[in-house]
Amino acid sequence: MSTIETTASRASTSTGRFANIDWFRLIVLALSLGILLVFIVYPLGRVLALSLAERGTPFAWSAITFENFQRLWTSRLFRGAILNSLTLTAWVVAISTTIGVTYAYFLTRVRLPLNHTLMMTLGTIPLLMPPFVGAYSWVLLFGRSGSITQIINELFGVSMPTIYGMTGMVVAISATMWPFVFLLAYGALALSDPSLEESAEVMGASPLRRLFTITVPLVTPAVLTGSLVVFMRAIGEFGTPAILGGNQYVIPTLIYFRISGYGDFNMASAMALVSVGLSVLCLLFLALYLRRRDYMTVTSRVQASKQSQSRVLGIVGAVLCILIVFVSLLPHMTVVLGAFAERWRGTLLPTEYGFSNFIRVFDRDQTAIRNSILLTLVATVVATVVGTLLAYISTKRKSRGGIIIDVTVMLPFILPGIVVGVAMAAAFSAGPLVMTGTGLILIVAYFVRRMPYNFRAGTSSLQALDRSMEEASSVCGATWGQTSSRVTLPLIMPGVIAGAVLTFISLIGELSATIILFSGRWKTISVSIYEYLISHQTGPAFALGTLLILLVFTAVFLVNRFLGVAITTLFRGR
Amino acid sequence: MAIGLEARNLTKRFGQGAEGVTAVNDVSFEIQEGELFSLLGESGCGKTTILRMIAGLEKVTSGAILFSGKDYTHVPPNRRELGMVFQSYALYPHMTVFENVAYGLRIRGTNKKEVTDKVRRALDIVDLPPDTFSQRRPSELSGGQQQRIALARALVYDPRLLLFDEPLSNLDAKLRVYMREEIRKVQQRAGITAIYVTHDQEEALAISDRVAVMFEGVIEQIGTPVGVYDRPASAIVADFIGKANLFAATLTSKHGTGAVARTAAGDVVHGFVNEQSPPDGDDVTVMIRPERLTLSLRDAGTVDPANGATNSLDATVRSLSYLGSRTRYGVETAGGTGLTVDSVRYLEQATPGAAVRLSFPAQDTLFLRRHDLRS
Repeated sequence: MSTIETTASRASTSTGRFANIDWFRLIVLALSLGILLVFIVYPLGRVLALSLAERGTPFAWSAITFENFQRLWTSRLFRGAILNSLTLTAWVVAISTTIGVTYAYFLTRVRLPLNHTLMMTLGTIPLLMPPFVGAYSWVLLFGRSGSITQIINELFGVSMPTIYGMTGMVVAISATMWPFVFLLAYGALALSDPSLEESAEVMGASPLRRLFTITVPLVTPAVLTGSLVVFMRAIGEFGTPAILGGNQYVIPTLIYFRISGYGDFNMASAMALVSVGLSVLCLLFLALYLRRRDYMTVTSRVQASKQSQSRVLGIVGAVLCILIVFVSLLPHMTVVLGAFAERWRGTLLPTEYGFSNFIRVFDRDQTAIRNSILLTLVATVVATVVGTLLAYISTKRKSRGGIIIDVTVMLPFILPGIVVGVAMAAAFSAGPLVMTGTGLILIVAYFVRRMPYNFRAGTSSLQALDRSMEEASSVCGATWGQTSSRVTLPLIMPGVIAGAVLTFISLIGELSATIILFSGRWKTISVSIYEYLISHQTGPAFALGTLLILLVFTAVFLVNRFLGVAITTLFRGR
Repeated sequence: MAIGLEARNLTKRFGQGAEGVTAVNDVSFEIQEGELFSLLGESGCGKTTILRMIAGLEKVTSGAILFSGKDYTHVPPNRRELGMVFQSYALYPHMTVFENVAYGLRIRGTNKKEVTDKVRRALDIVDLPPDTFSQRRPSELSGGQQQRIALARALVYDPRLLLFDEPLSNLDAKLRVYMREEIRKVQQRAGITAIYVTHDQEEALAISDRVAVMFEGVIEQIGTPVGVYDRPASAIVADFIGKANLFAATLTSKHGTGAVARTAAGDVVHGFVNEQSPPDGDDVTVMIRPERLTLSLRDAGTVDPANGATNSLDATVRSLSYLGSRTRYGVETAGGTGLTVDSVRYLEQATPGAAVRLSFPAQDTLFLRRHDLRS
C-alpha cells in the first residue's frame, strides 16, 4: 500500500494505521483468553477433577470415582444441605419477589403521600450492606433474649419461635434482597406505555382484568430477571446461614465446614458443582422464558405510567411501604446502634452509649481494615480497567474471537462466591501458580467475581455513545489513540466510574469467597465481623459493620456528588 | 477548474455471498474544486455510504477515490484532511464550544495563539459571536446554533473537502430553509469544495451547483438543478424530483429532437426527446410538470395565445385541492389519461365535472425511455 506513504500529506509521527486496530484487538483478546483459561477454566477444571477423586486424594485418571456425588444423595447431611438450600432459596425468592413487586407497584402506580425520591433511596439502601452483617441483628431483636421478644413476651405472654434455623435465614436474607426485584420491577412499571392499559380500559376491561391481562404480563420479564438475581445471590449466600443457620446446613456453609473442618476438598468440590448446576438451570429457565417474550421492546413510546389518585389506596400503600422499609432497615439501625452501645441486654434500646467498641476495633482490627480497603481498591481498579477494555473490544469490533470475551464475562455470573473461593483454593494451592495465603489470591477471586459487572457498565456506556462522535474525531484528523483518550474515554467515564463504585461497594464486605481464601496475614473486615459474630461479640462486630456502612455511603455520596449518579440507578440491572 | 474529487467505479457490498447487499454499485463522478455537489435520494439508496467511503469511515469494496488526482482509497480518515458535518452534529458534550471547534486544530498541534485566532474566525464565519458562545456547552445551545458549531468545527482547519451528511434533518422546517442558505453562503465564502447528502429534493435544488440523483445504489443522473428538474434523464428521476405527470405513449413522427407521440386512447402530444438518454424504439413515457399545464374553461374558449402552447387537450375536472399559493386539479383527458395540474389561478367554475382545456408548451413536454411505473 505505497499510496499511503506518498499521499498522506501531513502525516503525523504516530504509526496511525498500524496502531489502529489489529494489534490492540489481538492483545486484548489474548488477555481475555488468558484470564478465561488461567482464572476460570483451569480452577473450575480443578474443582471438577477433585470432585471425581476419592476423599483426601488428588485427581488421577485411573482412579476416577463418582462416590462424592453419590454421597451427596445417600448421606443425610449432604442431602439435607441441598434440600435446605433449595427450600431457603425458594422462600427467599418468593418473599423478595412479593415484597419487591408490591413496593414497586405502590411507588409507581399509586400516588403516595410520601417523598418519592426518599422512598426510592430507602428501598435501595438494604443492598448497601452485606446480608450477614445485619443477620445477627435479628438475633438481638427476635432471639431468645432479644429486645422485641421480651417486649412481646411481657405484653402478650406469647413466646416467639426460635430465630435460628430456616425462619431466621429466610427473613434475614429476604430483607436484604427484595430491592433487586423492586428496582427491576420499578423500571418496568414506571415506564410502560399508559395507552396500553388505557386502550384495555376503553374496550371495557375492569381494573382487575387490566392488571392481570395487560400489566402483569408486561412486567413479568423484568420481575423474573430480578428474581433470578435474588436466586443466584441467595443460593450462594454464606454468611447469613453460617450465623443464623443453627444446626441447619445449606450448600455454602457445608462446603465451608467440609474444608475448614476436614480439609475435604473433594466433597466440597462436588457440592460446589451442584451449586453451579442449580444456578445454570435457573439461568437457562429464564433465558428460555424470555426468548418467547420479546414484546418488551415493542413499546416504542415510553413514558410515565398513570398513577391511581385514590386516597385510601395511597394511605394503605404508604403504611405498607414504610413497614417494608422499616423492617428491612432494622438490621442496619441495630448495627449502628449496637456499635455505639456499651450495655444492651434485653431492652429495646441500649442503656449506655460510648465509643469503646470502635476504640477496640481500631486497635485490634487495624490490619483487617487496611487489608479490606487495599484488596478492594486493587481488585476494583483491575476489574474496571480489564472490564472496560473487553467491553470496548466487544462493542466496537464484532469479529471472530468475540466468543472468548462472551464466555469470560458470562461464566462468573453463574459462579456463587463460595464456588469461586473453592476453585481458587483448588487451583492455586499447588502446581505452577501457588497463591494461597497471599493477598493476590483474594484479588484474583474478587476480580473474577466482579469484572463481568464492570464489563456490563462499560458495554452499556459504549452502546449509548453516538458512533459519529468518534467518527467526527477521526475525520478531524485524530488518530485512534487521540480519539480514544480525548473523546471515547471522557464520554464513557461516568458510566465506568459508577460501575467501579458498585464493584467497590459489593467487594468491601465480601465474605463468601474470602472465607475460603483468607489467611492470618490477609484477614479482611468481613472475616473479622464473622468471627466476632460467631463468638457472640456483637459490639466490635457492629463497630466494624458501621465502618463498612460508612465506607459504602461515602462511595455512594461521592458518585452522586461528582457524577450525579443516583444510588437507585447505580444498582439497576444488577 | 481542477478536479477536487474523483470517484471511480465505487462499489460497496455489505455482508458476504448471497446474503450480501450491494449498497453502492459501480458509481463514478467528478467534482470540480469549489463546487457544491449533492447526493440526492431516498433513504437506503446508498448516498450516505458514498459519503462515508469518501470520508474513509467505510471501507471501499472496489473502485477508487482520488483527491486532486491522488489515490486516497485506502488512507485512514484521519489522514484525509476532510471536514464533516454529521446528521447528529456529533458535538462533544464534555467540551465547550471553543474546545469543540479547536479540536481539529489541537490534533494538528497548532500553536495556542493560532488556535484562538482561527476558532474566533470560524465562529465569526458561522455567525456565532465568539465572545458570547466560546465558553458555553453544546447542550446549552439551540439546534440551529449546534449546527453552526458543527460547521465551524469542520471548517476551521481548512480541509480540502467539506462533507455534509443530512445536516439539516434535525431542524424544523423554517430553520432548515434558513440554514441551507447559510451553509451555501459559508461554502462559497470559504471557496471550499463540498459534498452534500440529502433526501430533500428542494434542499438539493436550492443550494447545489450540481446534483447526483441516486436510486438503489446507482446514480440515475448528474446535472445542474435546472437540468435534473427540466430535463430528467428517466421517469424515476422525474418522479422523485418535484411532481411529474407520467404516462405511456408511442412516437408517431420525429424531426430532430422534436417528436409527436400518441397515447393508446388517442391523445396526441408534441414534445422533445431527451438527448442524454434517448428512448429505444417508439415506446416512450411522456413527462410534463403539473405547473407547466395551463387549465382553462372550455365553454369560455379562452386559450391564452401568449404562452405559446402547442399542445392542447380536452379534459374533465375530477378533483381539486386548494393549497393557497396554488390550486391542484386532478383532471382526466378525453383519452382517459389522469393528469395533475397546478394552477396559480383558482378558477371558481372549474369544479369536479367541469369541462376544461389543457394547454402546455411542447418545449416542456419530454419523451423519456419507457419505464413501467407503479401507478
